[in-house]
Amino acid sequence: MGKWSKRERRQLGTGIMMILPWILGFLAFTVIPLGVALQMSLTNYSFLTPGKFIGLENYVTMFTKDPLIWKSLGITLLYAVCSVPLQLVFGFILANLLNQKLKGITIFRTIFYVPCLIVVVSATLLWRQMLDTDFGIVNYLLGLIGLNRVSWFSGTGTIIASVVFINLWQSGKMMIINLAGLQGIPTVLYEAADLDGCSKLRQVYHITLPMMTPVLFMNLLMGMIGAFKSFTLFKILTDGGPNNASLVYMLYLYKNAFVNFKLGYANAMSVLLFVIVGFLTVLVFRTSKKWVFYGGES
Amino acid sequence: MKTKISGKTLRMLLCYGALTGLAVIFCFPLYWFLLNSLKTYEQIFQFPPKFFVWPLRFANYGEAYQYSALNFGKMLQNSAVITFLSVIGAVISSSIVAFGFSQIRWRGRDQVFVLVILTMIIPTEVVLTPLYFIYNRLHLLDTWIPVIAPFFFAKPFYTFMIRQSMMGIPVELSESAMIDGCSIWKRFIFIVLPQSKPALLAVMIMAMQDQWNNYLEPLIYISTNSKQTISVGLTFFSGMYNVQWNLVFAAAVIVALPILITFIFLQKYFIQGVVVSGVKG
Repeated sequence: MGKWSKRERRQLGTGIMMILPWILGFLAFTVIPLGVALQMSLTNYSFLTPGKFIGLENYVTMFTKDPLIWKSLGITLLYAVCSVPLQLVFGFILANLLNQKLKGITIFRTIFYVPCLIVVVSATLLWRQMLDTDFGIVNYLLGLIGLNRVSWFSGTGTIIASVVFINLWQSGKMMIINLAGLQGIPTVLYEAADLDGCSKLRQVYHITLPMMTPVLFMNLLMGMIGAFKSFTLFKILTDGGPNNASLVYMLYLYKNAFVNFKLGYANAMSVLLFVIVGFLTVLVFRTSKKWVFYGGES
Repeated sequence: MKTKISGKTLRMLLCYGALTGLAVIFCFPLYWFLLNSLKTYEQIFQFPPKFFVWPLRFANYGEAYQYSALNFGKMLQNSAVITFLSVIGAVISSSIVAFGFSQIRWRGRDQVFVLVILTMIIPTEVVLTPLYFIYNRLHLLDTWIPVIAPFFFAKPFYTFMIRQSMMGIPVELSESAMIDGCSIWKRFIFIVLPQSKPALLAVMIMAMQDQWNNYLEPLIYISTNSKQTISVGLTFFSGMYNVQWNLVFAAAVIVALPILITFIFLQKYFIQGVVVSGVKG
């Protein structure tokens, strides 16, 4: 650090002034709330009684006395483990199909993108009706091919399957991202492979896959975090039921805060969510060194 | 040579086959969505389901809109105003911040920008309960402010989008205008902003989608029915006793329309926004 010239100081002033909205927003919507969450997680605050400092009691309860926390974490983890890999694989295959030079391919691209434009609440209501046990179209179609009716909203497994499917249906954004990634791969690589007589399938494995790892990495990270904060679909489809079979973490947090009014406890859950997201991020970044390939200048 | 060509054709046919099969699966729910909104109440619960009905019942739309228990028109209006304000706030605040992160050279700028990128990872869900407490203290609950305010403080992702595009504008170009006695705001408005129009449009679209889709925040912060947004309102509608499902579907289609219509006109910018978001890694 050398001496600051007058010009530099003025530039710094202008710069800070320009980014002031972000600084204020960062303080107001991230730093301060996180501080408040930490502080409140040490109280038994609820809307009914003024909060009292109770030390780490909320955290002790969380880890030792509240089986629902573990249940909700388990359901959320199961959901993440089911949905994220499926999303990655499906997204990758679909994008590869849509990257072929075929007539009318733009029509196909539009078709696969449009579902993600349907407002989440509308889409969820639609699927709730389509998956209805008695008169839903899905069970009717299953019946046509000789399968039994499934009561989709009766247990953890089938509810998660439904949500995973709805998410795949609305994964148009991921498809576009994958497609852009594919189009960023230099065609020279494929031409060279063609000359060497390498089959198309092997090209996918040896060229496309490694070149796509940075995009897959982003998808993985966003997918994991997305799974842990998932709320809307579960809330509207089942509201956590039946018998807490689909009580994902965010839903349980919501219920503690706004149904049971245990705001202190809910804040402790927020802190835990923050820790989980941080942990996942570090984990994904750490392992990424082993499998993400950053070739050349990109 | 002959086998090679047939191999290529085979591959093409396979691709078409797979795509068409998937496309049918993807399209069918959309068709069902529309069809349900045009059925009578009885037809929706018919089993086996009817794949086509005649006459179509367009009256569902009018009836849904006027359904007195729901206050649908009012909620639609609320959503429109909230979304409009949020889009304005998002574009203004994030373009100013993006300008500060791209067109002005100051020490530590790029380090601070890394922090901006890092904060993108923190989900708003984490700060929901503490913010609720804060808004309660400030007596701002049950107003639109908690739902709109974050959009006025340069959401990191929007800022990132605009900043990427502003980085492509040579600083010398806009700085030379300064020498000609142009103020920094003039430089921002007349030189830099027009050149980042595509990114601004992409952010407008994203902000619109984000806010129109927003469910969790209005659900928590707004408690009076007449102030509620339509996304949350729809779920009230569907949860009511004796639900008129045909009207629910008509309402759900109405809610989905604004974004679909915008997509038809501004397709390019939808795609662009998504593409840039994918390369942030």
